[in-house]
Amino acid sequence: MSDLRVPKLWREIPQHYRLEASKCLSCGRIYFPPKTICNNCKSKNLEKTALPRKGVIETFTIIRNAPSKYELYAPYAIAIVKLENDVKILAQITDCEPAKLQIGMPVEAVIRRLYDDGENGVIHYGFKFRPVF
Amino acid sequence: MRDVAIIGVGLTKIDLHFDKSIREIFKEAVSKALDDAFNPVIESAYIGNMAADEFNNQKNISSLLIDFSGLNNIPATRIETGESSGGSALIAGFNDVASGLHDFVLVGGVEKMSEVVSTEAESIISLGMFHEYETIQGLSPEGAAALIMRLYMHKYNVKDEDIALLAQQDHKNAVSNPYAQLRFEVTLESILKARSIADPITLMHCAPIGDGAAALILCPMEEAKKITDTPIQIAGIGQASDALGLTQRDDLLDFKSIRLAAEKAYKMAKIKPEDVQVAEIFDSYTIYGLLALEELGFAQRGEAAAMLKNGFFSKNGVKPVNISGGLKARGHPIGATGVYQTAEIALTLRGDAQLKIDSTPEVGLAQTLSGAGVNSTVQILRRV
Repeated sequence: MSDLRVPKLWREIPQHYRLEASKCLSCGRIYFPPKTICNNCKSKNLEKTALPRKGVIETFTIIRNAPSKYELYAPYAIAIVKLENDVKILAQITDCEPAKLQIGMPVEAVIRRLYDDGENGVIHYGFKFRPVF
Repeated sequence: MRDVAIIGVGLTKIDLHFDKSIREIFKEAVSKALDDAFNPVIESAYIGNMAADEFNNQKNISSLLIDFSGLNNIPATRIETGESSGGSALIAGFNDVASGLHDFVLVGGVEKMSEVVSTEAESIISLGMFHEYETIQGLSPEGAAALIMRLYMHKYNVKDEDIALLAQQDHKNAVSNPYAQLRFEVTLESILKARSIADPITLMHCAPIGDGAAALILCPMEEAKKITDTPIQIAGIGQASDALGLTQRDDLLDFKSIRLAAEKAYKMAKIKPEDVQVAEIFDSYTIYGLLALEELGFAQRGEAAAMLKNGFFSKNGVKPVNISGGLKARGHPIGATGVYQTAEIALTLRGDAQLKIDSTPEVGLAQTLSGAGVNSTVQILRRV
């Protein structure tokens, strides 16, 4: 049910591997995933920009009852991370004991395997975040 | 625009109906609603349903259900706005009657979830989130609610046992609702000690999986007065959407879609939040129920739990909320839930024995929600 089919995965590579966002040239607002129209000022003048790779945990949860595709990986942590430029991003937190997580904890982006879809399916890589020590 | 009334209500008991098909439960609700409305000739139908494609391997569900309900050849449309589909179907039906296009319109809602095991149901409901950026990270709907609940507890210094009060109240109310799925009381301790689904959310903060169908018959108020002594007017409606992705919003605790939908409905009904005497709110997770109480204007930000604690929202309180048992205990057959809620308010305003309360309210409100504030509808009903 949660398959990321090949064209979709390929299309999302700039965002999933390089955290590519878009910035409104009129009002400066940054969107991730990128938008081509600004919700704030309605400008259609936006350009690509890379997100900073560091931020802090705004809120988090430990998924214990996972959707069927992710049952093998449970329990795992998911957080909303507020990046250095205030843009928010939702991602798994890795390399950390769940009990040690807390709001405000500094984290940084890393590339990890999100899941593999069986023997013949795609292996999906993307960003996760880990604590900064 | 014509005034629109509800003249018929039909509900089925929510349960795991392994022995019944989606066609059967829907037909049961429609038959009851038609009988209740003295069997008018129905001219069109709108059906709230979120995921018959996945739960029942069935598209074109509106034609199938209308045919098996004995309503041949009328225009029938399925409405899908995630978990709020039932509310959106009601709005579509309202528009149809108010515009003058049709006089007698059926609004139904149905979801038959028990065809799949619970992890598969979980995956199906997960489709309501932003696929490439949430679902794909392994987020579940409970996980989304957990992210919001943790932030709420942190910001307002509220404990999980305070938030759990809503689940406890729902269960208490469900005992006297013959259509409710979980008709038993629970202790606060059992809510807090239940299995963790996504910290800090336990199983008992979540609505159960169930099958159910609900139906309403709408018509112009002028016609309604000729048919019944207790027409219930749909005095106000409102709907608003919000960004699907949680990270697209400036403030996670700002469920703007509920607030905007409510503002529209209040304006149309010419009332204020304090004029609402009874309400059914959408607590698919207890935290969403608390946020709804705040966005609807019934409580200040961060104060809903304290008001629950002092009984403000209890069955005999100042403003009874979820006397049906709410999503937690009445149940949450997804696409049907909004129709159940509206039907329940109609029954309470009519003074129907099944959902009667001691006060005799004239104005009631039902609110639906999809996901974590993604789409909301608000319906205000008035006894005339």
